[in-house]
Amino acid sequence: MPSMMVRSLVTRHTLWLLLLLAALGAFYVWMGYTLGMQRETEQTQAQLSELMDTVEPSVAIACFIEDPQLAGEVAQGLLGNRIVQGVFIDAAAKPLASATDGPAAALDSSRVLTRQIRSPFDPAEVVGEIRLIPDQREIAKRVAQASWFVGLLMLFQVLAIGIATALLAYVLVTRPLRQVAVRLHGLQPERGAQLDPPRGHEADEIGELVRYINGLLGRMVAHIDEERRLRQELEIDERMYRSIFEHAETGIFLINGSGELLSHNPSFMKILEEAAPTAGERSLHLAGLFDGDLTRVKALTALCRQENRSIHQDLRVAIPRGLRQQERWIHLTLTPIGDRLFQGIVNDITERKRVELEALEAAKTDSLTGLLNRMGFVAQMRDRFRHGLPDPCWSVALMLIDLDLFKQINDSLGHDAGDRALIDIAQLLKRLVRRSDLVGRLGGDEFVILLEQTDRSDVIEGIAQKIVEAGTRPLYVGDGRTARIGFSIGIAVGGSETATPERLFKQADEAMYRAKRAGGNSFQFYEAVEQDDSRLGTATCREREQVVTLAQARAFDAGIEHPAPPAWDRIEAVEGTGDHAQDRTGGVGVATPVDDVDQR
Amino acid sequence: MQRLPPSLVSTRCSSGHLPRSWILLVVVLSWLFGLSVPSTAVGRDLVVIVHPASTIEELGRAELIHLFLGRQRRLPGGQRALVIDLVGPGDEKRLFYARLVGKDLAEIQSYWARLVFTGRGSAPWQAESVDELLDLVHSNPGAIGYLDEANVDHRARVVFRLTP
Repeated sequence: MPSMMVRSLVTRHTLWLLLLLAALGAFYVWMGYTLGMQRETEQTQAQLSELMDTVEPSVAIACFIEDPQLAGEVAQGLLGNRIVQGVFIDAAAKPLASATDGPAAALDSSRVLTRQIRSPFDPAEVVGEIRLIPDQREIAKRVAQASWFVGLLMLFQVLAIGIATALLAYVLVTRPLRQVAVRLHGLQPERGAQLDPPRGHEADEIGELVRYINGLLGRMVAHIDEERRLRQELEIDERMYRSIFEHAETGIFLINGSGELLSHNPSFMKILEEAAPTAGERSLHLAGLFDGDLTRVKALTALCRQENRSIHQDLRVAIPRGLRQQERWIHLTLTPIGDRLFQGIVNDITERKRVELEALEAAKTDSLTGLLNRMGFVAQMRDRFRHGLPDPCWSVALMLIDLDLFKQINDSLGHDAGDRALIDIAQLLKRLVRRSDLVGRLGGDEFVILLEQTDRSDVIEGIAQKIVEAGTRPLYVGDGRTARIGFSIGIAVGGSETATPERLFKQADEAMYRAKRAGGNSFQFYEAVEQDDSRLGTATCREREQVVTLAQARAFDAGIEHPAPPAWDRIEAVEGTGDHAQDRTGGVGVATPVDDVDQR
Repeated sequence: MQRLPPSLVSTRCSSGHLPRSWILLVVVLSWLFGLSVPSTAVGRDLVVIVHPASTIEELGRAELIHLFLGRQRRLPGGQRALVIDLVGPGDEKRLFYARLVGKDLAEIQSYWARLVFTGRGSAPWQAESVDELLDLVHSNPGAIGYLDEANVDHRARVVFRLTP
């Protein structure tokens, strides 16, 4: 506590009090000095006046007979008085006598006291004057003495009050406060201990303070207990979640906007290490799942932030296994947390994906021949159209092939033979076309071929001819048996301006029936009224295009309006109807869009 | 003697009913006192006299005071003044100073005593009798004195009159 002397309440209180009292005392001393000076000056004036009264008869006589001797004696007598510094006696404006204490020039004549002296025998006659100069130094000395006394009294008073209040403050305030502080220091409120007020202070402000402190301590202890209990619960929860996090099969992670991993569980690490085993440091980046492509990660996080919801994506990850690669599928869910963080979940869905793909494949494939089935063929045909339509020189040819006499094979030789025949025919067809061309079995004894980029009729005819020729040969159907079979082929050709799968199927169907009516094992092209002969010639589209461009240029020169561009949008509209359109196409030219009818 | 009766009278008069016998007594006492100082009558004028050949025609009261109390030592004509008091049995000196400056003889005495002590002043010549006074005035051109009006003769000339 002595080191805290300067900051102690008592010290501060006493210092302030002394300061105030000293200021007050100084003010009083100053006031006393000023008033004392004034009073003393007035008293001196009165004394001087009385002195003059005393000596006036003698001065009057001296002035009357103008006697310097007598005047001088009076002056000297007056100067003997301590409050007189100078005396001047004049008779009728003529200096008669003077006496000064010190040089006359140094006198302060501002407070000079003057009295006219009248003749002792004739009060009407003025015979001279006397001037008295009071001694200001003497006055100041007296006042200073008096002020010193007052000041000394003040000092004693200040000291006495200061000591008394310091003692009182110590006894009444500081000591009990210190007692409270010391007790508070050693208090153990968590054990239910309470603070006792200092003796004699139970009812005053200090007692009240102690009661408040006790109340506060009680509440705080209760809060702390509650907090501790909650923390224990949280710890248990935390351990539980941690365990789930650590042992989950699902990969869980946290990334920032640029894809850097902030946190992840072992499962995620396992998946990431498999995906990018050589990445090392970079393996701690989500880009490891995207072949190290940072832009994809950023695009994903940007989308996630923009949509402000979870984003799901299936990722195909190529995992190097020795020399060959293994494919793995991962389902990634990314959820934004605030503006900068993203929480993600990854699951290995390779098995599920495989089953899915297998199912999809099975759905598109004809299980007997391994060719595309109707659904698979139409789907792939649509793909081709989607990719090819924008090219004005793109063209396709659709061949619809119906087997003649197939029913007899089934009936006479059995279904196994029929199946065997179908397998052989499928392989035959595949051999005859390019690898890029589509071959499908629409069902039963109906096959279909899509030739792309083949607008030359001689090539198409060549292929069709080969198929028909194959139909003239006997077909081996197992068990040493052969069967005869024929191919009725309908061919429809379309370019990017007019072709739709539906129209091609319908046209090919019509042509195929014509072939069948013509006796079978032959091929027919679809013949339309508006069929442009120039389309099917020996020249390629590229060659013809130059001619068209020239014709357009001439038409433009002649002021003829440019022919309307092909109706792509119409095609897209048909495409856009999705599954329904597909179903109708499945009926191979049975369903005809109204537009097509109109156009025709 | 002059101060006493008025004071008595005033005292008694102020009492209101003054008996005739008291007034009579005062008159008798005044008469008896008057007999004991025969030469100068109380009610007579005093006159200030100078040498008959003096150029002074008339003097002011202030000049008289200055001359007789030592402030002025020369006559208005420039002549050195010989100031003479008359201290005979006629009580002229007392009357003179009483009438001139309103002081009694003791005060005048004290005044002169103070001046003589400082060595500055010199008191007037004290003439014992009217004759001595008149002789001194007659034989000194700068002389100045005073006496009862009745006693003035050719040896002097009156320049001022002091009425009671």
